[in-house]
Amino acid sequence: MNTLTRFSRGERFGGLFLTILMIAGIIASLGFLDDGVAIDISRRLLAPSSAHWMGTDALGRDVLSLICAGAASSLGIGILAVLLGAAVGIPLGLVTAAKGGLISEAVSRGGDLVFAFPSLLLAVLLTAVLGPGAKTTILAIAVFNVPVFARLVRGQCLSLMSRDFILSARMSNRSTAAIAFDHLLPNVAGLIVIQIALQASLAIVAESGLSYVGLGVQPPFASWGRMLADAQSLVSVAPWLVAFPGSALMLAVLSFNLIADAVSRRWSDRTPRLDA
Amino acid sequence: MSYRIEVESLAVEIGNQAIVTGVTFKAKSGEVIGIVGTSGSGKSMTALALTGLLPPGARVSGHIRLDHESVDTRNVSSVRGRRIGIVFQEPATALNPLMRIGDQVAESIQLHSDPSRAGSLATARRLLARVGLPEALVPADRYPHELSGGQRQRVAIAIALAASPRVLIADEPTTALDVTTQHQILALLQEIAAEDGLAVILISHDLAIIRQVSTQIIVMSGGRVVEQGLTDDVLRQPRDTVTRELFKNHVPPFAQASQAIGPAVLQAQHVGRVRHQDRTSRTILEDINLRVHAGERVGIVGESGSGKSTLVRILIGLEAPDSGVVELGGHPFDLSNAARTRRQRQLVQAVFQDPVSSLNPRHSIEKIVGEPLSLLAPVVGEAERASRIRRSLDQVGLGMIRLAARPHEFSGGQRQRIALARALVADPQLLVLDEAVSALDAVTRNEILRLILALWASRGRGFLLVSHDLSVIRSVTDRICVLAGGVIVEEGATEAVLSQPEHPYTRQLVEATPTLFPLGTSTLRKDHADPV
Repeated sequence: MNTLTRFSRGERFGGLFLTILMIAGIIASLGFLDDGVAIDISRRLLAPSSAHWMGTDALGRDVLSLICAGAASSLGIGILAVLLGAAVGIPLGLVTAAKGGLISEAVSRGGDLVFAFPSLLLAVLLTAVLGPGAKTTILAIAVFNVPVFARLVRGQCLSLMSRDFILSARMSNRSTAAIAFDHLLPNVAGLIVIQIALQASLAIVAESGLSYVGLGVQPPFASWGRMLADAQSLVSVAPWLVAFPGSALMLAVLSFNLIADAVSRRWSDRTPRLDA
Repeated sequence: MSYRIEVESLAVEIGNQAIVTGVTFKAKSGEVIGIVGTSGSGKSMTALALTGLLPPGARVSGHIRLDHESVDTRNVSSVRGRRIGIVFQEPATALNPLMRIGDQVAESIQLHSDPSRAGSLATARRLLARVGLPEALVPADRYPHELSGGQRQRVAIAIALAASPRVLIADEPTTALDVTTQHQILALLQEIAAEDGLAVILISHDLAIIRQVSTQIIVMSGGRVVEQGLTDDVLRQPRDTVTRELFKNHVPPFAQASQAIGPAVLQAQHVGRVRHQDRTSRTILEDINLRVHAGERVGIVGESGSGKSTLVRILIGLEAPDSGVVELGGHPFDLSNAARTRRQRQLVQAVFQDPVSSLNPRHSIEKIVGEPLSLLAPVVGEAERASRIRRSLDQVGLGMIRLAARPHEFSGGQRQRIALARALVADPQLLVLDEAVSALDAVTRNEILRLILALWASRGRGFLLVSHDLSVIRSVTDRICVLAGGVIVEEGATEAVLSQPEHPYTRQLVEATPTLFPLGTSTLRKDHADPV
């Protein structure tokens, strides 16, 4: 209880909402909601009621069950894609900062190139080559996360490299890799956690966007983006088809941001100032 | 008698805790008052109280009168800038990097007296010339980064003078500057006080600076004034223990000349370094020849820009020179020969200036101190490692600390001890002290120096001390190299060089070094130092 009270109301909300979404996603992927997700024309376009809390869609699927199933793909794909991007980007940033020289420059210019490339175009390209689906979506989002993490980590580490403890480590003959992972990484770990939370919120939006244009998760798997796309022509008849998945997406993004805020506040409280 | 400023029982409270109590003094026009004390003595808080810059929540009581006119102590900020000017320690951060210096001075004038742009700019030019930056030499359209540290501090003084204040408060105005520049800035402050009829309140941790320019001295400790009076009287017969402590520690501990000097450990021959930038090349170091023998204590003195940082990195094998050779332990440094470099690294360890920057904030003390142990061959076991770390910490007087603690739990002096423990743990032959005591106050500095002398020099080990502080170099080294503009301009036995400097630069350096005693009378100096 004591640990809970240290968090603000917003932070508690963020944590709670994401936990609920994750549990819902797990329940859905274990098959407990298969009845609700099944197509049943006899119950199409029902308004929210005690039987269907969030109503049903044009194919008679229960919207609440679809949102739970969508949570599995949105969160799963978003988080996996960010972690994948971070797993490549962080070591890249660390090593290029610790090593310096031409290779370091080349790698960061490469990152700029990715930044300059329209993300949707790349996603279309990947889909054309690999075919649409969850794996392609993860890859497309991950590619754009690599330079984000590489650049963040490199920038922070370059300023750390001018500190005397790096000179001391070099006098102890520590290798570039040891300096990167043993000396630099712990000093940027907090920033990385914050960035992961922020990127995850962007990634679930990206996932929904790709699904919305049909490049993401393919039926029969549910996705919030696809739900929104399907609801497009029915807004006036069945507004709940837009309201619920839209709110779920918005609240998930908000939750990730609240968590990033919480981490960054705690991190700066705890950390002795680096620039002192 | 007309007083510029009168302060009566000034006190500062933060959260019902007294931070400063009972500060009382008066200053006439043209007078310089010095407030001296170690870090945490309350001297800076006093300055902030006088300028209304205290943190929120702080309460000020007492009386302040400017030109016999009472000022509300709770609202001093209303006269700040206009009647009280301030100069801070760090000129680099006091100025706006994106604004021309003339505009920065003019902005202050527009705010207080003359709102017209042309008029204020003309006044700004005059003020800049007044503080030694005439238009012909340093045009007003320069940006701060185009100026040296001393010139930037002059701009900061011009800004403080912009509203023609009656009182100028200077809080450690020369601490970030070189010795020769410090000398000039202090002279300028004194001149401004005399010619413009200001009262100057100079705050410093350095007794010698205060002695050099102030007529009255206030010694503070623990938020209280412990001694106060005419500077000459107080320094001739310091009554309070705090003053005596400051006085005694002003001089670094004196070390006898090294006895047994062995073969050369470190040798630099014709070392040169050129920096290429924007298609121009600048010589950083030129034809440096240097030798440190086993058991010998060598000092390198040089100001910022003299190339000493680059030289240190080359000497400890972290950078390769463009020309010449550095030999360590009888073999030239060759960074491509990994096995030999590893053996050579074990011979030399360094302590750097800033203990905040030299200890990784995320590492435990155990990890920090134990890092050089990876250099030892054969690799030491866990038990041996732990006992070596303990022993090393014991030696520097930190035997009791938790090994899992992080650097931020320690004071500056303790951190420097931790850095020293790290340098000693792998048993090197040569210690490089790169401005290792420059960031510490006199009392802490002397503790660390005594420690180094007792632990190290007394066992016949040598060190290379790099510093801009002549007094430290003078008391602990046998031989000195004076570095200026990337060249060693003078070299020889420390006492001989400093008592009879031949090169004009060395002479300038010796003359600029503030001292409590007339220079040249080194017998007096040694009376006050405790020999180790």
